[in-house]
Amino acid sequence: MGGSIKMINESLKLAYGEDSDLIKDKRIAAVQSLSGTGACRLFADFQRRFLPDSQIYIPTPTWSNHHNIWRDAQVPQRTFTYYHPETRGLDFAGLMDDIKNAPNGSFFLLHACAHNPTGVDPTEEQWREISYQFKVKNHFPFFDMAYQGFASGDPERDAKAIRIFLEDGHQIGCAQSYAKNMGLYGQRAGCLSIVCEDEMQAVAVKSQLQQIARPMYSNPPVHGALVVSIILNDPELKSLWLKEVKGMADRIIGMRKALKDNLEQLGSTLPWDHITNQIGMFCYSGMTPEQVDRLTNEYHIYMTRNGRISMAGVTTGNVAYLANAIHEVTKTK
Amino acid sequence: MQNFSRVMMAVAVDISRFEGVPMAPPDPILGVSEAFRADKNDLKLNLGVGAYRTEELQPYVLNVVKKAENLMLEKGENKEYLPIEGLAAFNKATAELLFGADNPVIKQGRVATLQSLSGTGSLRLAAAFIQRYFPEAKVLISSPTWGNHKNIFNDARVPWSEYRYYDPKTVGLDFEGMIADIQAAPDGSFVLLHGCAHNPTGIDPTPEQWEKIADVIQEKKHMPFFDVAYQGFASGSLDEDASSVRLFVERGLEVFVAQSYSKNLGLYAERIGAINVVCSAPEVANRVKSQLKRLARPMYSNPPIHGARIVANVVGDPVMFGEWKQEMEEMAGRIKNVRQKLYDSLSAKDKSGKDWSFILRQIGMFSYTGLNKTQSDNMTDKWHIYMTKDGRISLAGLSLAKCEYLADAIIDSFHNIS
Repeated sequence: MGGSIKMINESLKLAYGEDSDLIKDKRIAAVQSLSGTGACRLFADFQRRFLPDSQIYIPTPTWSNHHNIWRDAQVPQRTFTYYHPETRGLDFAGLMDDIKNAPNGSFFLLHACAHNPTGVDPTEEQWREISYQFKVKNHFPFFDMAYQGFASGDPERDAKAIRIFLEDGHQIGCAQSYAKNMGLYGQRAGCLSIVCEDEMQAVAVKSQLQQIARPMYSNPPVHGALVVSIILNDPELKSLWLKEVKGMADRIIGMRKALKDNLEQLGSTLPWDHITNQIGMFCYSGMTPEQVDRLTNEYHIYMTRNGRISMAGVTTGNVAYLANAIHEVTKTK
Repeated sequence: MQNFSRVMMAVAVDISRFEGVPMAPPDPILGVSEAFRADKNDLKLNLGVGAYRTEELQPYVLNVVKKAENLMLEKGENKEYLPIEGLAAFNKATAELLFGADNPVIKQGRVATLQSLSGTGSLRLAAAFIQRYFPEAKVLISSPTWGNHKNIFNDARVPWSEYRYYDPKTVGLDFEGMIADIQAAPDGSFVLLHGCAHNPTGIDPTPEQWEKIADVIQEKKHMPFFDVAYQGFASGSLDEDASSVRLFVERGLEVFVAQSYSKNLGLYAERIGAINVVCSAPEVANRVKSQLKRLARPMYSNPPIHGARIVANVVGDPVMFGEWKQEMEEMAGRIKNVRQKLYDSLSAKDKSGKDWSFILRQIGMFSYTGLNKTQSDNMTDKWHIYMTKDGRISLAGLSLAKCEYLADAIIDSFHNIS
């Protein structure tokens, strides 16, 4: 019911670090999960069952399915400030206020890297401040890490926020997904981990996670997990993977630059720094729903009406077309 | 900017958040396999496992599955997300397999089918749907039934009660008790039925009894809810094993059916199955499907592709489908052979004149021996035979070579232990 041990062990090393003491001391309760969704759902159900007075603070905005998951698990939700529309960046002051104002011991959902949908991540220093404040407030940090390696191209770098929290002694929860960084989307391969006081507690918590999984799907699908564990356990294959994930990340980063450059060359007077400041698969363009509708109706460009562009859909072949269309619908006459 | 990471805050928390998390009890089935592994005796036999084993007592990957996987590798299809409802080719194939390709319900588009995580996942989706849209309803489950049924309805917060099923006196079906209990339940209850090869007893209603069960369900306006985990594996015939489901559908009833390919295609760990809901009209099926999707999305978003593609390839290709039927007949045939040999051994060795023929009347992977817990313990402690404490043995884990030994153990446990 807990899934592939090999896959779990390698996943923990990726998230917590190869030399993590938590791993050595067997303090992490971890199970293979149905990708990121399944990991979040297992955790939400665990919260409902064992921490029935808890709630979850979810950033505004977030991946829409986060709301569905905690709602169907019947865990009350609150939101915290995150995105700053005026700067198309992080509303850090608002974020820190909400962290301070939440009751002590609140549960927070944090995107470890490449925030979905905004692409806006805190800086390293901002993460340190967040971690510090979490310590003061005894908040519980639950990280959803769906893009490790895919954001910067370097898995270690993309896990920096988690490492900062671990250094500060937080006992975190973490949902990991191999959908994007290994392209295993439909295989549903992921891992849920929860840091515990000691080995005995980790065994108990894991046993309860398995109890939650059992009446949902009995045990997780083997195929994707096998692929992951073979890759990560073989030095050559792992090295190949690291190259390939960097390749994917670099292509996206390259397209961000190209889109911004194109817009500037077209003479757009609007600020477009956020395109390259944001990270990961998505760009929160700042376009209005009406502008997005025009992109679709007049230029056959499809995106969500919140102005989120999936940079993965941008290529050297279409970036000029895209830039032109964006310029046309956003320029002031 | 201060480096906050160096500040070790003294936080007034002495007690761990997870202090109140107890160790979960060991799984009743897993515990059996673990104890079996730890046993060093040469004569040991694992009859707890609900997974098919060859005569050499090895797991079996079907040849047709290997063929399908090679084909898939050659085709080199991508790994993009499936839609929430799963692989269309799989959904079509699975509904046709279950109801028959020419069934009017399929032709009329009245079946909502969602690929789901094997039998468990299908049952759970249905349970969640029942909780949301039939919050006053209760599910009736057989006594006994597969252990995880209760967990599924409990976690989905759907109330359940039991209907009589197993009669220990006859080691057969308590048909009158079953009908009475279904009759006595509030109108509009969901009745969970095993389509074939009842787990754990191996005792199935006869076709005549199925008709009467359908009568009372219809009369009480209950919703029939089939768990079909062994289609093809019970009798060896896919169509015959689906006859109970088709009987209900033919009556024009709306029916829930959970399907699994774990056993019949040996795809256990791939987690491939489907929830099917036969509705009164296509428009109803569309609505039901849309809501099942809304329940699936916050559980796992979309189902895993690998198993679905295997099934779609095997069922969709006439040659491979024929090969599958062949292999399934062989698996079911092996089970029937060991059943026969076990019965023959028991009859020959047991001088008491006890009638062991109930074993031959049972069907599928399991046999309810009629042994009680103490007797089952004797099977393990004295004879190193591992089974579940309700007296269930998995014939899938039995070889012809071990039948006589098993017969000795059963006779000893039945007659010498109370």
